[in-house]
Amino acid sequence: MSEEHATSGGREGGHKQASGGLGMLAVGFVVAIVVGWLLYPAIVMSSKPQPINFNHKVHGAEGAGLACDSCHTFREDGSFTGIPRLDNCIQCHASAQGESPDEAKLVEQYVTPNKEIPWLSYSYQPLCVFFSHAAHVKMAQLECTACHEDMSKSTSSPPAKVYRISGYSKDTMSMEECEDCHAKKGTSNACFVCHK
Amino acid sequence: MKLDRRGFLKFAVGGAIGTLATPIPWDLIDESAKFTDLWAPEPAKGPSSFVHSTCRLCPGGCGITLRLVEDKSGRDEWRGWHHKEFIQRRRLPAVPLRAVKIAGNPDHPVNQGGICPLGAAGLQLLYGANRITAPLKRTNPKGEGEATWKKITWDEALNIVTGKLREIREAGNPHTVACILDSKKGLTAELMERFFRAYGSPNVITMPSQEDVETVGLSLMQGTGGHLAYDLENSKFVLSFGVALLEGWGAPVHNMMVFRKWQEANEHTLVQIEPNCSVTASKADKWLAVKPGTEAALALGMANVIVTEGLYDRSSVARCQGFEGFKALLESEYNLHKVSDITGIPATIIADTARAFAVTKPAVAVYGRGQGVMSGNLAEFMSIYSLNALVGSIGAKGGVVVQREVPFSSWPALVTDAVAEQGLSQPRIDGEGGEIKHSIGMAHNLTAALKGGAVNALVVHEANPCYALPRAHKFKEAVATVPFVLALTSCMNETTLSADIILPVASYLERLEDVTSAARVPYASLSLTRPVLANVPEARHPGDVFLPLAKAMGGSVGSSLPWDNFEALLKEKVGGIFASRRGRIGDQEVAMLGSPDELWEGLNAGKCWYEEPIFGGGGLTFNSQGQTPHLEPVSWMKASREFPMLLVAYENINIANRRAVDTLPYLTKNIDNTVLQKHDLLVRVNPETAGRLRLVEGDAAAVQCPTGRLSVRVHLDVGMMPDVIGIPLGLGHSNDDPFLTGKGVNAYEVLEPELDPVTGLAVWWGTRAKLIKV
Repeated sequence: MSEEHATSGGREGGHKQASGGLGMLAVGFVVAIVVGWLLYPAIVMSSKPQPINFNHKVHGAEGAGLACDSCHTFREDGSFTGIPRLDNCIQCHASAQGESPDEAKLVEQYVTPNKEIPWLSYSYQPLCVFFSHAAHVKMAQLECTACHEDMSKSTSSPPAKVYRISGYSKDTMSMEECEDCHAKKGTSNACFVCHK
Repeated sequence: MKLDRRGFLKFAVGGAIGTLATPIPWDLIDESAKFTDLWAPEPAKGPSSFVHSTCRLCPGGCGITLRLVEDKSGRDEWRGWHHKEFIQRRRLPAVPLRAVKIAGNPDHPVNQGGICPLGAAGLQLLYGANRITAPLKRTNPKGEGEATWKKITWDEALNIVTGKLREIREAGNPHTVACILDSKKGLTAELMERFFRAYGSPNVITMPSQEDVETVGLSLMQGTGGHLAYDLENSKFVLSFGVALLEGWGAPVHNMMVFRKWQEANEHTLVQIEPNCSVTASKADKWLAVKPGTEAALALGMANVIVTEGLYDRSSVARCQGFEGFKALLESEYNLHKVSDITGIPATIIADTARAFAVTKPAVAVYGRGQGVMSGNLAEFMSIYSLNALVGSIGAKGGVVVQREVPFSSWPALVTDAVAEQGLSQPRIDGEGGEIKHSIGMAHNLTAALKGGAVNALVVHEANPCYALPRAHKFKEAVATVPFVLALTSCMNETTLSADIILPVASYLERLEDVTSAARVPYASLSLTRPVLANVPEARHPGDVFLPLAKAMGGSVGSSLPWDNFEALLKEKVGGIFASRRGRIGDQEVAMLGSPDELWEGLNAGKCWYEEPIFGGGGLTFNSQGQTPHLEPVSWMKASREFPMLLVAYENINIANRRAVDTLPYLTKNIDNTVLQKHDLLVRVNPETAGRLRLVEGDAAAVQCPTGRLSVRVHLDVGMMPDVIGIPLGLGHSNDDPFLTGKGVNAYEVLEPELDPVTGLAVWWGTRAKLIKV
């Protein structure tokens, strides 16, 4: 009796495993994919709106006709100015030019009290890294879009995704990315090239 | 679907596989790297500014440029990150200005933009963990266990000091107060000497220096005082008797520049004479390994060649006195073969070197040993200096000159009262100016004087005699017997640990100070150290401690030091330079300046005042006062059966070995592992000597000297003369600094001073020793 039970039980169990077990594997896989791609980013990153919804398209070739380097300029010593300061905005927006609520906000909250706009940088490099725009743009002739998103057609500023743990931006480059490109271009990957 | 155990495991495995296809693991690895990176301190990142000042870490007096960063508190808001608290946590304490770099000042004539490792590391002194942050009072008796301290206010501290000094003076014993300074160069030192003279104590004593023996020699041979300097830049042939040209002698950065110019011009010859193949010797054109202590004989042997072959400069010798006697002495006592036996250098090499030295013009013979702390004997100085007279280099371009004095306005007459007169008439406790007429720099006699109860109060200003006097530990024991010890330093050291009251003084980057004439550089110069920032707000300028102290003391002391603060005194002194119309500041003649204020402002902007030397043929007296330079080596240099070897101290440019400055904490990481390995100090030994003792590289050994025993390891070095042990100075601290304490051993402890028979000065650059395998 006991032998029979054991045999039939075993056969039954084996059958269940074959179908239900594989199913569970697939379920686990799918759950992980969903959690990893959808839930995880929402948990691990906070989404912060930019202080002003900046419309690149209106300022660019199709609007005010400004070139990228009208605002994103290199200083005379070769260093890059990064995110434009309020001075750049004031040149045109000392007072409101149009009806846009964001422009009104700009004038009211920042231009009039002469306060810098606390822009959130999308791609600030880790503090241990020395990064020179001049070396990449002027010397290596890289396009801005090699690293940054092409903003010329965008009509609004996407919120900045910031990691809750480290405080770095979603687009902060990892060392791997730097190294890959350096290797491809034949640039040295010695530590002190970036870590001064 | 029923979830049983197997099903759950499958689910978990599926989940794990799926997770690998999501960003989770890769992202978290990246995140943990970026997050933990934030734990490290971040340097200040604000707008930079640059300030010129002067380095005081060695007697070289280089011009330095400090980069200061404004610590901008607004920068996190600007960056707009939400993790401000992380940044705040890992940032260094917020200060308005942070000095981040010391570089050489290209406009300074001494170093012309260069800097040495010690100077570049100066910020470690400013921000060092060993800084004294407030006046301290000892709470347990000296000599009983570890010192314990109580913070007190400046008023309390100065009241205690004034009370003590008054008490001693009122008892009629002002001469029982002694003061130890590193040197008497600089206005602060002069101010302190003036304070104690007005108080009634002749006992202002300096730490030993090679310049002591030079001062005696100069006064005997030329009848002058002052500091010897060498025009190395224009000299075509330099005969260096053990001078560490590239390792910290004189103005190290200036020497390195000169050396570079020599290399470029390729028409200069450097002959280095010393028993050890030092860096300087290894870069020299010729290295003569002389038996230690026989340099005088070698110099006289060379003189003999020059005189007997008639190669000497006749016009120079005509300006000298005593040449006939000198010639007779050379002929009778210093024939080549005898000299060759004494020095261990073949006669032909001595003769060839002497000939080359005599026929190349200009040529100069440089007396010295290492960095210039360890003094040799008078015979050695006089013999070497005589060579300069033979080739016409005294006072000549490319030769040796006496530095001109900076024309500061002179001090007003010292005011003394009956107590002061009485105190000043007492003999010095160290015997200076006593039996031996020309003796100065007799700090080695202090141990006995302190133990004999001659001192009721000891003031130590920016010096560390408990570490750096020969037989330092004996001195430290003696200090414990002094009823009242006052120490003024910026960092804790062996001496402050033996004090009753400690006053924190500002570091050289925090105070205004005059730095006059860089050591061994032929022109006179003056530049200022400037109060760039105040890292320790409680720290004061020593001048601004002693001027108020003088006011509080009143009487002759107060009248002798009427200035309100050190700046007022310095400004008044600088007025003398303007009045003299001498020299230049930057590219401007002082004579062309409109007012003393212009000169003052220039100096405060970091410019250097300097004055070219006046070259002209000078002479001297050979064998002055009948003191024949004698060949007799001092007694400890004779090998004995018990101590068959010589222990010779040497110096390292990374290891601070003078002033109040101990080695800067992180510079210990810069010391070669043939000098220091973890906590063990290595002595240099010739492989032949080591082989005889069956010692191999890195073996533990003991150096046994008549005065004590040091535990070391051995480093085999063919550049070291057999039977000579080379030991580095400047290590083996016990000053509570976590970076220095217990690193190596202190060679000063076994260096027993031998007295020079003529001057009474301590000769202590080495001692007899035995190397023992342990």
